[in-house]
Amino acid sequence: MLHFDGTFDVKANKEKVFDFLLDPNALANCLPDLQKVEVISPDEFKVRVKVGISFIKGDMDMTFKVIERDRPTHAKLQARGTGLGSSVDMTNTFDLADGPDGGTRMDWKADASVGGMIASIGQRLLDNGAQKMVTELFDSIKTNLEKQ
Amino acid sequence: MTSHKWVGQPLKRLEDKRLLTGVGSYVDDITVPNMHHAAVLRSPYAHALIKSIDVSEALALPGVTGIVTGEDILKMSKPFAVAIISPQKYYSMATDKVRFVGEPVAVVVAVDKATAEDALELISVDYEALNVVVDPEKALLPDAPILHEEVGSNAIWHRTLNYGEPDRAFAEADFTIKERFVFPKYSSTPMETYAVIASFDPSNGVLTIWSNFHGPWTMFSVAAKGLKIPEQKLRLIVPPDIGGGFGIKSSAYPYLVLMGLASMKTGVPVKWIEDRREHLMASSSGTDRISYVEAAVKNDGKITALRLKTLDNVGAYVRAPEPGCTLRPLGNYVGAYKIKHLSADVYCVATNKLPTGPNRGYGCQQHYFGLERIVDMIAKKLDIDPAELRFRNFIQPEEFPYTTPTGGIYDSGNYPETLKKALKLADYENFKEIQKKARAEGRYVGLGMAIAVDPSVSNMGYITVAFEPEVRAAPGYLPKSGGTHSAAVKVESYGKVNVTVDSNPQGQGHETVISMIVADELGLTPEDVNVVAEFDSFTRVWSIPAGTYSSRFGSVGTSAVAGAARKVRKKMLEIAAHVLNTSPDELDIGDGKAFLKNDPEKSITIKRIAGLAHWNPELLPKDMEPGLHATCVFNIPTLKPPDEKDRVNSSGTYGVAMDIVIVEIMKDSGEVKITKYVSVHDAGTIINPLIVEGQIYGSVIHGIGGALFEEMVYDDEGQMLTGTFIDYLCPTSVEAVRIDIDHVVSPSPFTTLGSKGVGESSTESCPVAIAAAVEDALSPLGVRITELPATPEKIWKIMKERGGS
Repeated sequence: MLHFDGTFDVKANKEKVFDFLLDPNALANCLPDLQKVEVISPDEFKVRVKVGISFIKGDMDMTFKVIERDRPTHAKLQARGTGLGSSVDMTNTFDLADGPDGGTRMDWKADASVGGMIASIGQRLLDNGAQKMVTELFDSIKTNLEKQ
Repeated sequence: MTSHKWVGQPLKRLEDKRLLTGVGSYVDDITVPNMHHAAVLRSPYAHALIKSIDVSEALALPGVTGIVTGEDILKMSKPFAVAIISPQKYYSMATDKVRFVGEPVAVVVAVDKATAEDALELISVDYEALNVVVDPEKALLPDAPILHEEVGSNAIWHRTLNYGEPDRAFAEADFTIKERFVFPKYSSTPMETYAVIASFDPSNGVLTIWSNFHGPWTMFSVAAKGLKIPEQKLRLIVPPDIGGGFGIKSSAYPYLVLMGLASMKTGVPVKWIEDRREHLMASSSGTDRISYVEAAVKNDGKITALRLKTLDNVGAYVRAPEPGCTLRPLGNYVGAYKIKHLSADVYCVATNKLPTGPNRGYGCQQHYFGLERIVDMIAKKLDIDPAELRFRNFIQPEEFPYTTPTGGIYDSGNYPETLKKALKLADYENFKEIQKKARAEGRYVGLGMAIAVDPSVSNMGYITVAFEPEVRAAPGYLPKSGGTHSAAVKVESYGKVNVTVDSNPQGQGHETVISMIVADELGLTPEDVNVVAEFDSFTRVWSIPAGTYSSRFGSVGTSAVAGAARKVRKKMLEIAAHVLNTSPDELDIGDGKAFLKNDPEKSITIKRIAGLAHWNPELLPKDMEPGLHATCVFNIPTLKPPDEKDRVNSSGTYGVAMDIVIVEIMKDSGEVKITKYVSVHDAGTIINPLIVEGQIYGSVIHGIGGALFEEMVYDDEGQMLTGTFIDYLCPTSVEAVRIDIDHVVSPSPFTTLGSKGVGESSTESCPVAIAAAVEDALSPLGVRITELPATPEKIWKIMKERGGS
């Protein structure tokens, strides 16, 4: 089980941040190496992302579902994916509060379990690789939000 | 009486040239017309429900011929027969639920391997993950996730066995000693992985399979039943060469079925060569065990009774021949000792790990780890030298054949002599001084010893101890016994010999040994003897215990070969006597001739004898059948079914391996360095000393792997963390050690040449000997080594905790 968490401030109000995070197109576009996105319903979208851990490289299909939605302070998304002889099961939680200068402070955490080939071959590389992907994701969220 | 010109000689192996020059014949060298290729989709989850499988995208990929899923398996096949009575359903592929990472979920058949592999990525499986358990003790807790709902518990098999009066012996003991031991899960990673070609012919309903499956051929029937085809419609061909097996390839049979079904469904021949990652994750391994060993001891060091409790972690399914890990050593549970009473509370526990099976030493390294460690602990407690304690408990040479309380019939041996030789080779007398000096210099140097009574030739009946005696006594129950080997010797019209044996050698050198034995019996040279290595179930003389496992060739294989050759020899002598106008008793055979013992000039060549038998039956003795060939199906009569008290002679012959190892532990890294390794063996008559030496080296190095390097590691979610050779550490030439070898020769009264198996031997004694040596080295820190492997990380941690590094 991998666990990541973090806190950062965004120069945008809570409603705007919340709506961005729950907008499949907006959120999906923050995913590193996104290949395609397909919106199924307001609470569900599918993405194909390029994954690379060591010499294991290829595409992975992931389905995101919103399982908790409490505008504008809290949301929880579940993501499941398979591909490359591997599986990823992940939950992502966002908690939003007022930040400095009318902005928003976001606490986020992600718990992921990885199975199959990536786990058996890439375990020792997984922490760093996943950390990098998660960092890129949130950097991208912050940048895209502040661009709007 | 045969004179031995070849048996006993260090003849170089006839197989070596082709093997070392890379021209052996393996499954992957075989091509059949219109052959397609299979790839297996495997579960990334350790425990999950399969909600749905969508293969439409994969089927649409150009080059894909067909796809097999669990739905087909349910329709086309039956669950495998197991040696226990259980509602567990084990198929060649998951049907509704996956229970370990790597379990097959679908098979794609395509025009080439690359297309098949690409198609795997297009199959979409909807899993619902379930809770996972990998530890056998946790698996027995009330809140543990259950693997097999129909069984209702992860304790998938359980028996309590009682021999003699263990309770009384414990009550009368001067003291008792008890310890918990953990033995790791490891494999033997043969160089060649599993390989299967399956080709179904609808015109006659015959399914032909080529595979490197190496037996036991009891699995032939298990496979045929799994395929739902009559046994006479299954043709199994094992090519001349197998790139190592060590028991692991016993468990290839589910893939014979899986690929057989793939060929039957798609209508094309299917080849599947397992890759290394699949092999590590999803083939087979030895069984990891948690055991509790308790001994009842007298103050003079005599061990009177043992109480065992073992939890064998068989992984996701009990797969035949499990619970062999528990029962295969049953006859030799007391090891080399005169222990009279024993009880055993034995379990197979299902967890979300790769299913287990035979792995060189099958059950013995697990068993002797507990037994030999507890013997050392008794010695320490009594402050008696561990060698001396063993001498006091040994079965004595004049007591053979010796019947153990569990029913084992030890054929021959001289354990005191074996230990004496080992102590001498190890310079044991001076070791204490050496150790004292090393300790004064702040170095960790230690010595460990272990003795393994090494069983060979599994009794087909031992596994039926899995049933309660009442089941075996019920009307209609069909008992099993025996451990046969079959051989056929044909002297052709031109005076040369073809021999077939129902073995599946994986590098053991059977061709060499067979040619030596036959050459001696028939007065020829090994070059005159051709051994037909390929095994075809349609044409070969074979019986149900066939195959190469449980070190059986050295005992019953050689006996069958000698037996068949002796029948031919007898006929040769009769023909020669007829031609030379004398009686067979007056004749001997040698140097390509049959000759008069008291007048060797009067002779007839073997070539001429064969010529007569084939070309001119007219000149044969009256009523003699023409031709010159014989078969022998050799059995050891002591291999009887278990009795009503669960006593069984689980193996036909029992050799011995006595290992002494000296180690030094590196203070900075925790690395265990082997500085001396002594191995003394008694495998009865030695037929080819070079081959015996090779087996000893192999078994020791394999044991070192289990003791120091190899382990299949899983995380709590059932993910295997040792999926490549980067993380699964096999000993290589760098880790190999020089071994000082000696022999004691106590010929077996039960085999024709007096020989016994030696292929497993030190794999059984080496891991525990190393554990003992590590403990001895670290004894200034008060450490007990009760689990393996002793990796640098573990040892370094122990040393750090106790201020020793």
